[in-house]
Amino acid sequence: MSGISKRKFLTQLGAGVGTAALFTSKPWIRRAAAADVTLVGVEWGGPWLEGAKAVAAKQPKFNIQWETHGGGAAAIMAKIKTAWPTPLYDFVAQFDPLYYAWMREGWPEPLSIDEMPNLKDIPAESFVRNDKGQIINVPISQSGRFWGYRSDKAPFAVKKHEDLLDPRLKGQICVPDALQSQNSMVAMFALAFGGDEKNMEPGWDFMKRLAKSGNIGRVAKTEVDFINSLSSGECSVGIWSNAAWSKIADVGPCVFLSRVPGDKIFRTGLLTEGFMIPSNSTKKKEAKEFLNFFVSPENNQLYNEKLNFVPTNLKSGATKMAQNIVFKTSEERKEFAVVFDFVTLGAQQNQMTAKWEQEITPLLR
Amino acid sequence: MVLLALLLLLPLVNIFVESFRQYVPGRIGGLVGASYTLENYITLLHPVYVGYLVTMLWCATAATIVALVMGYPIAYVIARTRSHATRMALLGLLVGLLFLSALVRVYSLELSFGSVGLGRIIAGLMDVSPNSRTYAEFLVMIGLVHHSIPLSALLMTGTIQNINPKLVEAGMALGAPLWRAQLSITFPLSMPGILSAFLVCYTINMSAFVVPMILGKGKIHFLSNLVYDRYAELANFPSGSAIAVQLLLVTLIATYGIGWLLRRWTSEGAGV
Amino acid sequence: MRRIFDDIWKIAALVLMALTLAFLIGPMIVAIAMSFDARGYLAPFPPTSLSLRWYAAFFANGSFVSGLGNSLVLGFLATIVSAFAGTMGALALVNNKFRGKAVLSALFLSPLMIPAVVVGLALLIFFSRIAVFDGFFRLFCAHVVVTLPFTVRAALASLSGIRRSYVEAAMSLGASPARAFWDISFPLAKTGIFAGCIFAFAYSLDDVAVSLFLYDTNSITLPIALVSHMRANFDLSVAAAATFLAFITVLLIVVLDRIIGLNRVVGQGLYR
Repeated sequence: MSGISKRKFLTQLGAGVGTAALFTSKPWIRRAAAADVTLVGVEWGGPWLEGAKAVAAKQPKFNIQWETHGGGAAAIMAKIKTAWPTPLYDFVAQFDPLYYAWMREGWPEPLSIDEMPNLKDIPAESFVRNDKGQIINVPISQSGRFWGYRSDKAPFAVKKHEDLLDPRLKGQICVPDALQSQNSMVAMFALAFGGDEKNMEPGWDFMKRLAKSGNIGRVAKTEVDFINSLSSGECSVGIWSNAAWSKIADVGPCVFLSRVPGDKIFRTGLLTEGFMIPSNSTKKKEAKEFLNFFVSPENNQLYNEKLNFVPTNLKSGATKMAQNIVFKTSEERKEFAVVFDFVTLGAQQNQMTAKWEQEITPLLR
Repeated sequence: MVLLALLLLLPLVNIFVESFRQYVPGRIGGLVGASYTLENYITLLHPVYVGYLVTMLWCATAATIVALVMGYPIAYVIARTRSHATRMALLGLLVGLLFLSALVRVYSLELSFGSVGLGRIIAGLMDVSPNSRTYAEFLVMIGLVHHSIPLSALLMTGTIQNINPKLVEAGMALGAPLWRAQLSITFPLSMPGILSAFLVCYTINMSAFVVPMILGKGKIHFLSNLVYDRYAELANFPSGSAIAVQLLLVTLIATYGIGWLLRRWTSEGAGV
Repeated sequence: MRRIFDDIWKIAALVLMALTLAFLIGPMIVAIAMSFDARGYLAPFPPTSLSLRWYAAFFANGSFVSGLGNSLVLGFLATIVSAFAGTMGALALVNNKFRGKAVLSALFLSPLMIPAVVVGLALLIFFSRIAVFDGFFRLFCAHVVVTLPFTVRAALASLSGIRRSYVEAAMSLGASPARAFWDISFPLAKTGIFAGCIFAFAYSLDDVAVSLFLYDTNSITLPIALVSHMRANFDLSVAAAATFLAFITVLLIVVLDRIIGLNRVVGQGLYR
């Protein structure tokens, strides 16, 4: 190329080498103190991170370097997979059904109650076990998803699920898409109309009716989308998690449809969040010790306060907003709480997303 | 140069290869070592995906053209004005807009033109509900235009600056009215700038992600939204790669097709 | 008769410009208002009460501030390299007629045509294969690659308007190609190069999708820090951060103008 002299090329090369040298030394980043044991953990940002940091601050032994999930779940999994077996993290926060994705890749480190005594205060059904029967997650929060509406903005008081198809709600409903919580909204529809996670057709039928009715104002892709939609008044009815509803309740009066007797759609879908330890971590013993500390009764309560989630430790207390999804008796649980079969839903995620793209989105008016 | 080519090409090749792999649900990425398949591409022939492509093309093309038309006067004023203050003010506005994060700009557009802002009035004029799909499409176009104008104006300024104003004066001295002199002299000579602006804005609009995601209310999907779902949520890299390849091809064809057309209309085609 | 058409032309141009400016400035005001909004959520414009809480929250948050630092350094370095490489690339495209020119041009534009997430992941896989795990270096490379289309196109827009005869004249007077470039082409192309730098820097400061796969604990950029924070809370700190950045940039331009004179940096073309 004319105009590029040898001198220019060498300058460029020199600049490149210099820059590379600069980056490897990185004088502008302060390193963590070498004295404490440092663990690298991944959490979600915002109130999740605040809660996690608050708990970490209560103990002197471990110095935690926090990394946040910047985007969707697969981003962190892609990083781990491409780096494997080079260790990146000592513990990672995930939720149903990512536990199963991890197990399929063979990543989680098995845990036991002997090594982590605080786990005995957590109900057995919150644990996920690998095919050897070993526990692989440390459950820390339980959240629930349910329908609700802003009573100051909704055209009328929604009482039963048929109301969702009412023409007065045109453009007023904000729903999640198939990627949110493994399409548990449609799964709930399926359960209500005689199907289940393996046979979702009845659920899809109702979803199509809802789409055709023109009542869907927005299909939210993230929790922030949903919160903004309802807080700005764009939509007035929707379904999302307890955490989202607590934010919207700050904006205007809400009615929560988390336990409507006799209605099989206006119930609560439960899901747990927890930590997993990658088996290639170099500090597994320390990570287990730290996580054990994390789920002690006081710490579990502290962590969940900011989130308004239900602590998994039975000895912890829950906030007022979290009471929405606390089901004290087993009859209550049976009638109003649903724990989805996330293994099946997770395996179908790709098909369900394709189905949503192909059959639901075109119907939206 | 070589290093850059390496950085650009190798990942591209990787994506291309990945798009032919099989995907096993629940796992991360494509199955390495298994046989290759065309399935990811065949799925894209489904009329729904063609529909998404058409919507995207329509929105991107219309938005780019509008952005160029709206950006040209600003570029012209920046290039030609004698007032230093005006020049600074306009440049400041354009640069300031660029540094206002895309997310914030999109949300401010949502507030200004959405159902809680001017949306009610505009949608009423269009005789649709502000939460409807038609209006969502309109909003997405507004978003794309708003995003593209600073880019197009800044790109066209440089070229217009280098056009001799005396040429227009000469044209007028020869009897042409101002509008005719501008159209036949300044406009064709600024074609390289217009072309560059078109290329950049069009590619950005075609691979737009945040704008359709938020302003589209989940009813409008651009190809990059589909790709994001597959990459960042599903870990279905093969299908995502196939769509990415499709987007790349479509953008290349559309961009160069329209660029070639534009160049046909003006004989002065200096630059690529 | 001609006068009327000229007047109509001028008025039409002015009206178009006024509309464009209103369209650009309106949402910008909404965005700025968001950053001063005392309400803790996305609410309709105008704010019912004002507060500086978001600015306070932004600067009090360690991860935001360190993210800002990272982003500024990263953006600065990436912009310089990208501008340099981009100008070289534009020169190559303008000065030579060789086969495959269109292909090279397309290659330079291609990172824009591929969805950002795809680029991010492809680079992640690439870097893992060559065992580079350092977040900052990966981000630097990625940002250079991704901003290259802007710098190439912007430089091209200016360079292609320069008559080749000027350069040839200089060289016939004894200047080397490098000297001819520096003394003739570069000043005339400054506007374009400047525009390219602005785009590159703005893009780098705003990018989430590419950086998503490539950052590590020590190299969290500002947009990633903001987006991570926003998982369940539309924290208006985003608006505060964006307004702050935009304001600083505009301030920088004003200061640059006072000290060096904007025209020397941005260039003013041949005809002033």
